[in-house]
Amino acid sequence: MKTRYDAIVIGAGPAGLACSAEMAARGLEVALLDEQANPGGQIYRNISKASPKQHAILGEDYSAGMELISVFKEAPVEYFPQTRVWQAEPNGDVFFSRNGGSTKVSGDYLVLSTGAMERPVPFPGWTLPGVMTCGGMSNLFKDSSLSPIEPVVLAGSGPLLWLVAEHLFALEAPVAAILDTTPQTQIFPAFKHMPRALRRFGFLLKGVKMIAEVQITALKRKVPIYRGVKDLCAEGRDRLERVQATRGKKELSFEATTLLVSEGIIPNTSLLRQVGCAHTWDPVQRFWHPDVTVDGRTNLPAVFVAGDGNFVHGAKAAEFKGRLTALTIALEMHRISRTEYLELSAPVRRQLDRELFPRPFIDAMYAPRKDLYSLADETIVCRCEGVTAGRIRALVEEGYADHNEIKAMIRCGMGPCQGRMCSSAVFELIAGHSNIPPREIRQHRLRPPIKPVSLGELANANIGGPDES
Amino acid sequence: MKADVLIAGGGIMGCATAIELARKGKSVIIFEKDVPGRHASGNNSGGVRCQGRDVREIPLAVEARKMWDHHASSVNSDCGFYVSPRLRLAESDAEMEVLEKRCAKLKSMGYDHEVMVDKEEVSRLSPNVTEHVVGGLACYTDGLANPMLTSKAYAAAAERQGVTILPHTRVIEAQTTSGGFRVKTSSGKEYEGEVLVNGTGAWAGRFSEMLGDPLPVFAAAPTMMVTDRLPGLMNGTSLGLTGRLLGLMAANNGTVIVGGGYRSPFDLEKEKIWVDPLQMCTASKIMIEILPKLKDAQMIRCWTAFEGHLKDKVPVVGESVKVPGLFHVCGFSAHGFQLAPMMGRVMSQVIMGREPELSLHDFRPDRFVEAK
Repeated sequence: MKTRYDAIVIGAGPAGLACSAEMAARGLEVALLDEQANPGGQIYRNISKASPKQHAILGEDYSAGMELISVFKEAPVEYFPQTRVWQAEPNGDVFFSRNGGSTKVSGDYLVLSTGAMERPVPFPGWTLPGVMTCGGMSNLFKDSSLSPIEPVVLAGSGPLLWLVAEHLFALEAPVAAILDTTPQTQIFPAFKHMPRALRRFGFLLKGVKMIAEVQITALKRKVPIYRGVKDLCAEGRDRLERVQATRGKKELSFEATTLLVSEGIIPNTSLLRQVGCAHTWDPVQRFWHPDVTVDGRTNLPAVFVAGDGNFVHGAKAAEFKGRLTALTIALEMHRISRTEYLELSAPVRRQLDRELFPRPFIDAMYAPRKDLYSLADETIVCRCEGVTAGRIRALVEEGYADHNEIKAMIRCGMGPCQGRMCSSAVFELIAGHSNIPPREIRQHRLRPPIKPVSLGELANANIGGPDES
Repeated sequence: MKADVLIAGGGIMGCATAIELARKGKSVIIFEKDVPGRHASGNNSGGVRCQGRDVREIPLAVEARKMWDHHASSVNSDCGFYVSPRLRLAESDAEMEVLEKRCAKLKSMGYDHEVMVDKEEVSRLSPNVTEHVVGGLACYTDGLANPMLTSKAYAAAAERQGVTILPHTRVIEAQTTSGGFRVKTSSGKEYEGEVLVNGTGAWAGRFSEMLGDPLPVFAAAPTMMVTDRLPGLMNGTSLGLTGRLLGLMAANNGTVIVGGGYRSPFDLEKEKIWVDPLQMCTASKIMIEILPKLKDAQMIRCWTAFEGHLKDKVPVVGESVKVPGLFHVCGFSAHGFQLAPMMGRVMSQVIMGREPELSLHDFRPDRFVEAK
């Protein structure tokens, strides 16, 4: 590895792969750093090693990633898998650990394509072993062909819930129930986005078909599907034994050893916030996303953000965003002319626009429901430190409206995950119990290392003194 | 608006001073540019230690230590305080001599809170400490507290005593008048008081300059770090070194808090601090040398805050010679937290015109002028 590159890309999902390959094709020296062992990110996780059976179950949307991988593999990108980035700086310095040591590498440009994560939503019992996210289950299958052999309940809202249900049915997993928590009235505000969404009729149809097929299979296998479900609760002594919920006045209870939840996808902004990208609050999706232009520019001149990390738009859109970002950087570095840039970027922009037609509809349809964070006092919010919603709410009611202060007082967000799992909920508790508009609430600060790094790796460092350049 | 005493800075020193003054019947207003405990007061590493402290501060620190046992009654909160013996390790015979000298000096002053310990006692106190350590100096009564809880408890106690704390209110102008001081704040209001207290931490140099009594306080931003939970590894004993930079606090939740004077680059104007990863690497190296079992521990976070320093590493406490009525309580040079309760007491004494119960001669504001 060199100590300096034209551009360093962090994250080997669709955006990072497309971006690094495109930049390399334009003559830039590019390093791609990724935490996983194989390229693909979450969506195309392990794709180059997956078996035909895995491909068959995961379907054409997964296998579609093969083309991206093969373009990437042809491109002269220096690829560093199993590399954990724990700090990045606006000047392009990146610090990471790999092979038991720590290293610094610098880029004229940084592209942060750290993707999205599942929205962590606390509910009673969510810390019990046996409770995990739909995405987590999907990863287990992509990595190791694992699937549940004991009763499993799926609960939540959004496309991922149905996608994972489809996979589990294909795998003959013993699905005990599907609990859809989407409020049944949510379709109405979504309707106004329908005309635009219909411009991608095929895409919509695919989604509708997937849900319909899951419903048909469920009917055949006598798996109950409930809509408008509330009060989800995981119960058990040392691990999950039972899933309970309500639907209207009806109380639901299912024996299960696995509960898969999904409450939507939010940008994974840890590294973006640590490096200092400015963020904006989205009142519909109720998440913070970085202020990014369509070509990936942030408030920091050397830092670009591509993919779902700027706003959750899905894998294909991420790929296009990655390419646009690459072309912009190539233009800035004078590797392509203005004319070439316009010629090359115009079709990508069109493809991206087309990809985004259905998003407002999907976003409105699966917007986080109003009572998503109506947490009971005893519900644990911070898993690392065992801090309950009641303790946080009590401080907010006393007038504390800054997660950083609340953290220093009662430790929520102080554990190894550095608030990745609790900051959304703490933010909502502050928004819901103070008079401060969400966009004015101070965000939880992220400090290096953004991922835990062992002292051995830090001690075994090759990060040099002051920069040579 | 008028008050007997105006205090700039809602940190722990300003609040401690305010509490004592209010108890003695003075009306007090505190101006805080952010919120109480935003910087060093609320975000230090939580060490409540006499061990290793500059001997000039020892008399105050020993008295302050007693007060830490009574916070539940004095400020309605135990401030998260608990005892964690502090052990300063000697890695060579030469370092052992340094510690012996200190111990003898303390004895000559009449203090016995720090005692020399041999290798055997070191391994009893901290069984995972590496072989090459030859002995140490221990203070069994030292402890740790939660700085944010402490800062908030002090602010709340001050308010209960009738003190007015104005958060998000910065002093933008301050001048002397015939009857004392007039202060203009960022909220556009003016306040008058007979006495003005400078408890502005990292900003104390600038604040004192505004009043024509410049102090050579400079800002620094220490890097503090914390590991994941490592139950039993520290055995409840906090560690320091004699010849190298390192302070390891044995938090009662099992994490190890790392301090000891690692500094981060910063911009005081923009109030921005960067974490320099080289510091994390250097600290990790030394930590593993002292406690080899730390090799597989995880560093989970760094944090920083602004604090005020002075060249001679002890604070400025007392009345300005140039500007009568202006009292400084600043420049604690990374070790003010433990002293806070005592500072409230002596500050209230000098502000009320009395002789302080312990000498503040070593901390007099004009000592730098004399030095020239």
